[in-house]
Amino acid sequence: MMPSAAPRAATGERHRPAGIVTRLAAMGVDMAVVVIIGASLYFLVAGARLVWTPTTFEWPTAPFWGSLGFELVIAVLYLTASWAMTGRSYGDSLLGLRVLSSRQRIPGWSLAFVRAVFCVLFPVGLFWVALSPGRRSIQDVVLRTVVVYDWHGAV
Amino acid sequence: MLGSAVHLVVGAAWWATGPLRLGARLTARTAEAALSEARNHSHWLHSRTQGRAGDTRGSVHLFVQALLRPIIARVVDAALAELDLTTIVLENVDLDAVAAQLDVEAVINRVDLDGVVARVDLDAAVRRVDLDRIVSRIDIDAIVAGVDLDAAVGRVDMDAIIDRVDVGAIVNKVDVSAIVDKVDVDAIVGKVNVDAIIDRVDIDAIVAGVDLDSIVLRLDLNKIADGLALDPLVAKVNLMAVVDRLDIAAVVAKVDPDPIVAKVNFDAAMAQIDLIGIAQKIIDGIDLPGIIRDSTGSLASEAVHGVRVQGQHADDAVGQLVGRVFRRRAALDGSTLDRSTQQ
Repeated sequence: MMPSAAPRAATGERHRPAGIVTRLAAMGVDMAVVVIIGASLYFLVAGARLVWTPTTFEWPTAPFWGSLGFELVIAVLYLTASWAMTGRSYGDSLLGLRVLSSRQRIPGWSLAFVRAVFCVLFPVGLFWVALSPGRRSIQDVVLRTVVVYDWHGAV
Repeated sequence: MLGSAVHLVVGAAWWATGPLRLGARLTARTAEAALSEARNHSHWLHSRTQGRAGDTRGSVHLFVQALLRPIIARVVDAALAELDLTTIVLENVDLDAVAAQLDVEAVINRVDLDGVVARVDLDAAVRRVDLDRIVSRIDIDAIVAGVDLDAAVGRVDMDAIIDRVDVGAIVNKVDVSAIVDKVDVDAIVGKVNVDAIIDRVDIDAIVAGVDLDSIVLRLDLNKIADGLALDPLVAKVNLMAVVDRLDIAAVVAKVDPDPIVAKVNFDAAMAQIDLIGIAQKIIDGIDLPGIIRDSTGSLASEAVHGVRVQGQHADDAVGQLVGRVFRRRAALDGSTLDRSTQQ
């Protein structure tokens, strides 16, 4: 196994596209964030019910598909807001990644929303990064976006 | 006055006896002529007057001395006894005219006033004078009113008088206590314009003339310090201003800390110190939680940096592996980003 080349500077004007490992790690962090947000909302609702009807309190229950849908909605909203405002979610920030449009700029709200829906509904498209010469996922190919290393301003 | 009166009387008497003296002189001339003729003819007379030949006046004088003087003296005495010379002078002599012709100054100059005065028993004369009566008749107010006191005082040599005054003896005789008891000091002080006096006083000149060293040496400073109430004075002192002016570094440099430290009972001092409170204040002061957060954040940053670097290495390794599997010449390190994004 040949030794890997040293990574080039990640804070220059032109950044390299991020590989599959860092992007999977970022996706894992974002999934954890979504789960935490969903759990927080669940306990918030439960607390409100406890305060409102303490004598008849019961933990709120929901069907699996309902809960899954709720988590997916939270994920779409979370990713849309993150990419549209800063170009990166919490996972991207932790791994030093940034989502850029074809014009090398932060995507707009519409592009961020479409990319978020695409990523949530078809997460397998991310594995195309490993095979793509330009380290692009299916979503990046379709929406002409790219995820690059950008440590500047990250967490 | 007495001398003048005496001379006046003598002159008047001399003038009043003029006719008698004229008659006597004529008689003497006649007797002289007769005696001279008799001497020329009488051997006895000539022998009695030997050595004085040719001197008629001397012969007459001798004749008078020898024969006529006793007779003349008796005649004159008898005549004077019969005559009231005073009445004669008062009735026949114009005393005013005589007095007008008198050269009084010359007469006075010829008088030995000192001798006259020396012979006068002034004490007896003064004893006979009724001084009270004389003084009672004197209008002292009128005399004083006529006196130019200013001029008199101006002519007084006050310095000489003061030099002759024995002030010490006067002061010794003064009953100062009695005077002070009679003085209403409060009323006097109430009338004094103290501000005006203070304005006129040159305090700098007074202080410059004071020998403060000798005064301080005579003071019992310990006694004064014992009587002082230091607490009120210290309460008024602006200690911070004093401390600001102190060169603390210079003072501390002069202090030998070793003997001081050797005397300190550190155990007792530590027992009285609230170490927990001090530690809490130190922690608050240095913001220890902030330091921990910063250090923790730094550690977290280093950890994140390591994860990113390792992630990039992993990405590159995966890219090279995939490229080797698919036998691609170019490594999948994203170097075709520009070309691919432009497609």
